[in-house]
Amino acid sequence: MTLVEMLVGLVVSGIMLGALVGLFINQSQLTGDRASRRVARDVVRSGSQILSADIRRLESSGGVEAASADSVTLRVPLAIGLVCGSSGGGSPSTTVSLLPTDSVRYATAAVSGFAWRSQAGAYTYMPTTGLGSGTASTCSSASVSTLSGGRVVELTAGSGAIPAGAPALLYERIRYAFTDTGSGVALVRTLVESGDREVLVTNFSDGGTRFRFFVGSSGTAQDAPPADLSDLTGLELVLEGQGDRPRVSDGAVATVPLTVPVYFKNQMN
Amino acid sequence: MKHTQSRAGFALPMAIFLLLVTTGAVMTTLAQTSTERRVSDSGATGERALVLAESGLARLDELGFDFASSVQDSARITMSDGFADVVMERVRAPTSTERAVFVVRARGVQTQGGWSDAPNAVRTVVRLGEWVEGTMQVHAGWTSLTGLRKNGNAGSLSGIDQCGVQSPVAGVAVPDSPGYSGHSGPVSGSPPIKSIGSTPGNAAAQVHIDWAGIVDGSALEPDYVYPDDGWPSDFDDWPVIYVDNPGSGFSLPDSGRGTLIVRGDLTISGSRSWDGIVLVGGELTSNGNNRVRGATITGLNVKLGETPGESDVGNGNKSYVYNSCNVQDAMQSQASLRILDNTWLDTWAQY
Repeated sequence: MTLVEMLVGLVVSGIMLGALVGLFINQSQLTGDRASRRVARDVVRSGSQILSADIRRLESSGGVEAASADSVTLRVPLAIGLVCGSSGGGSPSTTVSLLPTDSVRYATAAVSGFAWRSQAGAYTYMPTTGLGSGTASTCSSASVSTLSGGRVVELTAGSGAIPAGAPALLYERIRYAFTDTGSGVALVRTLVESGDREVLVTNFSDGGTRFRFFVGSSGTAQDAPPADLSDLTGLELVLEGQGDRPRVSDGAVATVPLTVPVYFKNQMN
Repeated sequence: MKHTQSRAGFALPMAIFLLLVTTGAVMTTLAQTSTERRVSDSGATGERALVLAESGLARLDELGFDFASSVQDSARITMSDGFADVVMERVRAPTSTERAVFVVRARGVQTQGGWSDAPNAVRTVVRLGEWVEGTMQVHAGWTSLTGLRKNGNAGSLSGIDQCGVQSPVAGVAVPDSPGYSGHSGPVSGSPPIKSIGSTPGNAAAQVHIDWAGIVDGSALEPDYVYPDDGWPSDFDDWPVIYVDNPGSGFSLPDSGRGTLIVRGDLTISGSRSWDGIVLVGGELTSNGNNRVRGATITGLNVKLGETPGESDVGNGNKSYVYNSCNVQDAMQSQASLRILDNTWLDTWAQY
């Protein structure tokens, strides 16, 4: 090999190695950007799925206890059944025959009370955290059957005005909030009765993530909650997930917006 | 001099290396895309399973569940991309004052459209409903809010239960003015002629039928609307027929049974007969030797503020008699499961 041949080989090798390194860097950046966008998509997808499931179950007249753009306190129905008997006075109690309910969901709930449905369809909420086993005979004497997998419970709230046979919902109060953690906004769930707090999803972008509100029959959500929260018929989830790293090209973090309307399934027709 | 000895080069190894790197990058991208599609599809199939379950509940009427006498029943509805298993169970037996309550649940299973090795998406939704029996207040064999005129002494206007089950009711129920005119010999019942108020307006208040709701379609869903749907060819199921003839007359084309609702005037001619319930907004004119066995109410347009004419029963051997069995059979076809608002939930135990 002559010196000339060696120099030519070195130059050609240098050019090719440079191209390869460039290819590696580009590929790495592309993969990184794609992964970052995927993180952003996961953020909005997870947030949407978690919130939608609970919001959909709400009962419109009293399902939302408090609301603002960055947090909502919900009375989420946990189980449904029929009232077997109820009494007020100094030691109020209500016996409810519950339909079979997802065991994990039931076991992890922090029950906040029950709501009973009048013949006209309106619910009255009876807050109580006192929940224990009920007496089956109370239900059988009210002609109420407890299905296989169901259970009879007794709650320490009641009224003589609650008729046997009235549908009743067990509910738990859950607060969902978009909270700024410094490095982004996180969706935080708090079980109001127990105070248990859990960060569900992180990496929402600040400013682009909030609740909006459907009121009455309007199909367009509004920014502010109505003065009377029983006018709510649904929530709009305005979510913007952000990636976990800045792009090399411009230093910006990828964001993915998602707007999801979720209407309450339990509404008076 | 020509060199025949082969010389080592780097082009081929470099090309192979480049190909490997490119292939690796493509494979990584494909794997990432595939994973994300699976996650995305998993959510979509879950939502689709929910739609299948909701569809199952919405098609409850098609399943023919016998809510009147069964405490549990189930059926599968197959759809293009899955199925819904719909189950009804009674959770409260009827009492003398309360209706039976049922829980109906649908388990939607998405079997098509997902990844081949992924489990089927499943969602279950539940609603409560109460079984509403059809009932009807019967004052008389023939109740006319605008009076009744009977020519001739033949025929029968009777409130004595032809079926022999219920206590007798009046043969004819009318307001004081216009009241019953003509021969009273054909009228029998307890009493034969009953006053239900001094005026048609007073009488209308005594007849508890949501005529406005029937006319605007909110209170009752007819099986047939005439003339749009034509006249039924079979009456096995005691159909509800609504004749939409405001301001004009309608002549009963044939004998039948069920619930006949006429918005305007009705004429029954010849030897035609009707078993069940006849509700007429205007006046009923009877020609020939026809008969109604059940319960007849005419002049209901008074409830709408209109002033229909007096019903008229001409000469001949006509029979308008109370038959509680025919009334019950006609009402039975109107019994239905009324889904209770605000009772939707999707936390039913899946296993």
